[in-house]
Amino acid sequence: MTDARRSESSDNPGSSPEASSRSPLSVEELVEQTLARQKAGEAVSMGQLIADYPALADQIRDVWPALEALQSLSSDWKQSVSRKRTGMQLPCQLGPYRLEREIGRGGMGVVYEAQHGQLQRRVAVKVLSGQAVHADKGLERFLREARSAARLHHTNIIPVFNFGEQDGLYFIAMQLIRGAALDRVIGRLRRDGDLVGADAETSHNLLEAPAEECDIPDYGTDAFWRFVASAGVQAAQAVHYAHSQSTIHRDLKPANLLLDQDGTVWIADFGLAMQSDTGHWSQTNSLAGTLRYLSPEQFQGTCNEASDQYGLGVTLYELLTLKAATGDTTTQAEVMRAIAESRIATPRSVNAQVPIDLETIVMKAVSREPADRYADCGQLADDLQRFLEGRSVLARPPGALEQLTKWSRRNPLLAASICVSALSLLLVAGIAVVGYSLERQARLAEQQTELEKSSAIIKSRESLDEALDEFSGSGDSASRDQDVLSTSVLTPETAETLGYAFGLYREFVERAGASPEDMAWTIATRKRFGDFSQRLNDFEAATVEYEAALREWDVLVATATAEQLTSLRLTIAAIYNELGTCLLFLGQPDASARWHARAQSALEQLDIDSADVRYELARTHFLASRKLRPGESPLNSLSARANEPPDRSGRRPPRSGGPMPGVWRHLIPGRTSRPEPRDAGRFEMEMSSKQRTQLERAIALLETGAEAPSVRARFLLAQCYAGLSMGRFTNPSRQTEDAGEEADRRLSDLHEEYPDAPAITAKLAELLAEVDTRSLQMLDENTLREIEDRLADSMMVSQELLVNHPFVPDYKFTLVHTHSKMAAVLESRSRRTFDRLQSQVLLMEAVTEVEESIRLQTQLAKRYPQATGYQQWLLRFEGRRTQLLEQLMFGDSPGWGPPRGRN
Amino acid sequence: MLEDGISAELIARLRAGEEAALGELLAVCEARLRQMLFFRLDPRVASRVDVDDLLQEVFLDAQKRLSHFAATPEGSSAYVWLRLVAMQTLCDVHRRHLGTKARDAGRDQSLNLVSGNSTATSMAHALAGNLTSPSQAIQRAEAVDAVQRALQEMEEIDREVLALRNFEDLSNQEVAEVLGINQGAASLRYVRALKRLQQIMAKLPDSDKAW
Repeated sequence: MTDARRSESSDNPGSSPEASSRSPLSVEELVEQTLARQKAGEAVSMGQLIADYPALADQIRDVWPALEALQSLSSDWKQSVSRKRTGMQLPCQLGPYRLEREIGRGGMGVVYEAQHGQLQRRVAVKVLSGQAVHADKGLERFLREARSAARLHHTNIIPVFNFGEQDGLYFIAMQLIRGAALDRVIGRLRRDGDLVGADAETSHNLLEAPAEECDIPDYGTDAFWRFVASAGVQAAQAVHYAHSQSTIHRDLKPANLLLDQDGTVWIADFGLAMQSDTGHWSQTNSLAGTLRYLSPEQFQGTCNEASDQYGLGVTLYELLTLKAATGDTTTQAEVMRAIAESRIATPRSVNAQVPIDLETIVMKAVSREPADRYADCGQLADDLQRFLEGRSVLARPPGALEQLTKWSRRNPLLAASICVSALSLLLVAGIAVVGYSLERQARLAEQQTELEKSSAIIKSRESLDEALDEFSGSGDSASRDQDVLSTSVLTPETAETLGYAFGLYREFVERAGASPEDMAWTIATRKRFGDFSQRLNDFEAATVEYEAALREWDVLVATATAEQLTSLRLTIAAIYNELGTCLLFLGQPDASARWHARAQSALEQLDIDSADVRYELARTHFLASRKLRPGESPLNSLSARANEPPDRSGRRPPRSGGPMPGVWRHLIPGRTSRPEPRDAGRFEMEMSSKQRTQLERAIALLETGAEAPSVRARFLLAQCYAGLSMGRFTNPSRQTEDAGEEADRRLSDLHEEYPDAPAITAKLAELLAEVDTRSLQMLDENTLREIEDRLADSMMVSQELLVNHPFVPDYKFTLVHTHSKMAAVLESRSRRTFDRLQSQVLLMEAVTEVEESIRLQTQLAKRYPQATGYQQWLLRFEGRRTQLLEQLMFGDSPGWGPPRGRN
Repeated sequence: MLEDGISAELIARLRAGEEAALGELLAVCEARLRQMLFFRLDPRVASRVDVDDLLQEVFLDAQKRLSHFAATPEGSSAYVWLRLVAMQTLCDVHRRHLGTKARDAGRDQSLNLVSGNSTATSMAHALAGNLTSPSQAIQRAEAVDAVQRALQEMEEIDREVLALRNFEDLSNQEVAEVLGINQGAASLRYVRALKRLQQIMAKLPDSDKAW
């Protein structure tokens, strides 16, 4: 043994003398020591080891072969890994196709050149990324779209041969085009002309084999303009054909148009762009690149044939000028603003050589209003053809009058709102138009006869009523199904514009006459103002409006006929309820209760067989059962308001520039005053018996009635059950659990029936995330997992909501808190396990959740820097993250943390 | 400390929060980090995610959390810290691509999440990935299968030790730090796991060829 060791240390200078002088050596030490020698580059064999350490021979035989085997396997693996990129780690066989080489990659996926096994046909196979094929409803949709694309047969549309799914990878096989995508072509022309281009790397969708481009005439020559026009004719004809087959492309841009070696244009990816992609805008950074090809109406979620024409127009524009139509804008906001304002410089202002007719055609195709574009892409193709044939084109540059109208549509207010809220674009545009005509009519009215004046006023009233209908209701004081089902939501930005429109509205209210009809209209409109203020969380302003309406009512009661009054009584009861709600939020629960009681007695005098009366009565009970949760009262907003004298004239001067501070301040949740969760300990999560009785009465009312319940009634019923289910996890009872099940079922049903109604979706997300995280320690593992599942579902629902309404802070805020709750649940679970690894994983997941909260909250905080509540929450989340990370790294969770290792 | 290629000077700069130092750390550790990412990346996600992108994401995450390294006890390995960051990045990526089901996936079979099946699967994948010819594949398929079963039978921490040492190239000291056990124990577990593997291999028919 001594000899052996001596010989080892002399033969192997690499091994450390102290290690070998320690004695007796354990097999563990020997293994470590030998590994160190190997690492230093020494070859060690088992035989040699056994010879050197005969005492350990058996043990060496016990481990050495396994070690060597592992080493050889893992070293092969390591070598292969060091060269590999995972993204290419595809099965080389996908369906009947053998993938051979990558020829392009982009947002939608990766494109490979491939060969059909039996047919020996070379094809392009596009493998879609998981994000492109969205989660669960992706497959069906993908298949539907691919099927419709595969039906298209046109000389300028890349034929789709096959499509399918394998191992979770969605692929489409299509004809391989030897050529280049137009974005490449444009990039090359840009470099050739030594023009300083914008981003060189926008290429997304290359189906081409590189370096096999066709000859393109030199930029700026007549031949070049004809080339552009001819490419435009081909593309427009293809798009027109597809439209005739009810297929919309949705994502026409230079990267999707390929030019083959013969100069033929091919359109790729028909129908593949997922609408839901829009929901991810806010999450990707390379947006500006994609956004610039979107039509204004696409921001609003509308996408139709005219949008494709716009995309094509923008592509031709870029080909003509080698510049993006949106100019040198680089940020998302800039691009959006440019598109919204339709601030597209004429091609000739970029390059005066561009033929005027071509400019006129392209500018018509990229008109902001779909109605100003060509009636269809066929007409666009025809006009381009006319240019090619030297005939005069049909498109006309807009005249002075037309430009003025366009200008008026592009209200500066619109521009201001739009850079922050693309989604609300059309709504805002609509309001701005109404506002504009209203002002004009008001001015005209002064010169008109009384009769003309009143008819003008009524007309204006009607148009305003119509425009505001979508928004004037409040989620809670729903008076019609429309409010529940409305697909529009109020964002701080739209609120700002609406505030402006209401200013105009108010003039009518103040000018309204004293006839019973006028007074009835005034009452309804005052309620509308109040509801609107309520939705902005400005309960004080709402109270003022409701009280004004009630004063009007008092006068009316004294003057009007019984018949005229009857129709209004329900509205008045609703106003009582609204006042009750406002006072609750203003911190006066007793006064609030009195208003609800008043509403109740008013309603009880009405015809209880009427569904509307029963609904309002049920709502009265529901509202009366509510208690404020910590943080729900926006008291701080009052002090903010005090600094700003109410603007009774109502009219706000249209401003340009950034978003205006003002009315929407109140709309932001977490509005500075949600108390610390720890302080909320005194808040009783369980229902008092009185509350429960109220809810049960509401439920009884809603469940009676022969006719099928209205949507709003079903929605209210679900909310009543949700109220009864409070504390179902932390303090479970038969009652809370049953109510919980009812609430779950009813809300999910409603959501399934009306997936586009944000009010319903938002409530569902809230219900699923409803849990008091302070009591998690008391819950068992199974309950924790159930809560975890619900939170995960809630996140999915919220995300769905945010896809359609990315700019509603409340929705994002719900999601933020769901992630934060999820972190708490995971942390609780991590404390329960005695397995350190599992505990670590759970903690890691918790960190991930908190970080997701931070990420989303940061977005909110950035967008609404005035909302100090957002900043406070951000700090809190960051603190949570630090806590969790400390726990993760040092395992020192207070109290009952996981054991530190097993030894 | 120099054993892992990370100099004391680099550690000091990292503790001081110097971002440039982070870049250097990543350069030193890149090979091991890549290996780790390859090893731990869910095969369902591997086809959609590029490891180079992943490395970049790890870097950004590490940048955000650089201050946390300063909070680790004196003598902590910078690589172990970076690896922890990378594990979190990986969790995020899995979540992004597999949804919350990423966490649920392992739930049905066992309570173990990263460990349990996924380490065994990762190892089996790594082993199976080396098969070059179809005949070899058939020959080895059984062995790989047996190894996977063996790995699943092992105590989770032992399996983890094997993975950390042989597939992630962690030193014994680093393994100890990752698992929160002392070095002696880490070494003990390693050798025990090797023995167990050896026993299973010995039982395999034609074992020398298979390996």
